[in-house]
Amino acid sequence: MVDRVETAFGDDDQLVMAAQGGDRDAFGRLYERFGPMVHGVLLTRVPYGEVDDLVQDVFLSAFQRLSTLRAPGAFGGWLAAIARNRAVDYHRRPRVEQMADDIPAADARPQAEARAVLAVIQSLPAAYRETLVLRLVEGMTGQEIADRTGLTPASVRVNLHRGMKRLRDALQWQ
Amino acid sequence: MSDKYLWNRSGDPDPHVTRLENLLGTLRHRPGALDYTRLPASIPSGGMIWRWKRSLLTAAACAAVVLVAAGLWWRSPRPVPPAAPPPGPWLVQSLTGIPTVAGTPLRGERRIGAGRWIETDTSSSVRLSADSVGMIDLGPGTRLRIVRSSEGDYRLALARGTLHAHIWATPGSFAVETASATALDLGCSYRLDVDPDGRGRLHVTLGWVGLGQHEVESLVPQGAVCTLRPGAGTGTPHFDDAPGALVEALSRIDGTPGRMPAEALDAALAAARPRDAFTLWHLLRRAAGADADRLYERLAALSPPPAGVTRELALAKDRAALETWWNTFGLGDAALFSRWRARAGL
Repeated sequence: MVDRVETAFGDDDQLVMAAQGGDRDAFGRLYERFGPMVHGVLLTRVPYGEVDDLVQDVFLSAFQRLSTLRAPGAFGGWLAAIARNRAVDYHRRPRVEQMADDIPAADARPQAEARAVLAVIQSLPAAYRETLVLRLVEGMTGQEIADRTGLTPASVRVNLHRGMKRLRDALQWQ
Repeated sequence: MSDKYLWNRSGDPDPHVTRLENLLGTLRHRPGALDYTRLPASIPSGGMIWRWKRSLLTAAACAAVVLVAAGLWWRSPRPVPPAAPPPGPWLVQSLTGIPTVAGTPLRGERRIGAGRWIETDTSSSVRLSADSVGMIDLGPGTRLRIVRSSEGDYRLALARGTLHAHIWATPGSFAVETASATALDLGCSYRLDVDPDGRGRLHVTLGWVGLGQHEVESLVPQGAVCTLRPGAGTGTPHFDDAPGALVEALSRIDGTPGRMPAEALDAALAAARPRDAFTLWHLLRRAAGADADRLYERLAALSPPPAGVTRELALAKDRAALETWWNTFGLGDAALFSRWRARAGL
């Protein structure tokens, strides 16, 4: 598992450099690889129904600003920061009545319990939300979370351990 | 339990983690193609051909719009009436029978906004859903109004009937008013029943709910119930597996204004288990004099106060001290409710 991530991480640098040169195929590969991380970061901060649209916003914004990224190896942390900033912008928007395109997904019913648990995760301290969502929703390992977000593996490990304890307490799963 | 599985899915699976993986995996990222057409035209593209095609498509689209507009103008020279207001976020679907929305029979579904009443008769039921808020089922004999439905501020008023709510909106942004109290969602699923005379009952099945009216408030965690009484606000919450003697005593205490009936308080103190500490915590906040002393002693025996929470502070109903004590019960962070109650008008 770790070997695969390290190999992919090396590939990521090549893809970032190619994308900085305008290669959309390379950027598309980065979107495939980092999409779950961006999705998870946004999922802890904005309503579920808005996340997919904001993921697109984040990647397109990153594509526009990619030439400003000096260290290709910092792409993950840089992208996560764009996602967090985009979530802040979302909440700064004027509060308006929701429009008619707010149509529930066809599979909303089986997701009801999942989204209720997600709301519990969103009520936990900020430090634990992202790592829990990336692990439990997006299915990433601790090492992958560290590689994709730029956090240290030790921080991810601590956040996972403590966050899981808080989540068990909140759900009363003793 | 080792954290190996939590870290990288190796070792013995942790049943809590696997349960959450299966449940939450339904919300996982489903990648689609990146939509580069949302980029401004100045962004580097794949080549001149793509830009030429896009320009051609844009010109064709503009021409089509002009043609359609001209046709409409030719066929309908009368002034265009003002546009209808946009529908609200709530999609209302009939589940059984024929409920009414704003006095009109609902067949199938429609979208509604603030100010509308929804009513079911004895044989009908209805579902409200909004992608950014949650899903709410109304049982037979229910009357409910959409009070507000702005982003981050969703409020309903339940006049009577039964409401089942699964809420995934940000905690604190969804509330249900009743004649006795307002239920503030803090990330949860719950059932709320209200009689036509305003008496009601809240049962929380996931997460927790803040229930309040003016200065009276209750924090109701998962697996607990709380009664509502018109004019008296909220009752004292208790777990749904609480001893019968405790439940009966609470009913007498909640139904008696002023000082707590001595026999009922005796019974409550004797019947309470360590798990019922949160119930005594609520009673302590409402008690005075000797009643408060006795409640403090019993609560401290069942769940000792943490460092810094002194007897004096607890008996003075110091909010920070009591919230710190609450947080030792493992039922969630009481500060969350404090943060949102003012905003919700509780």
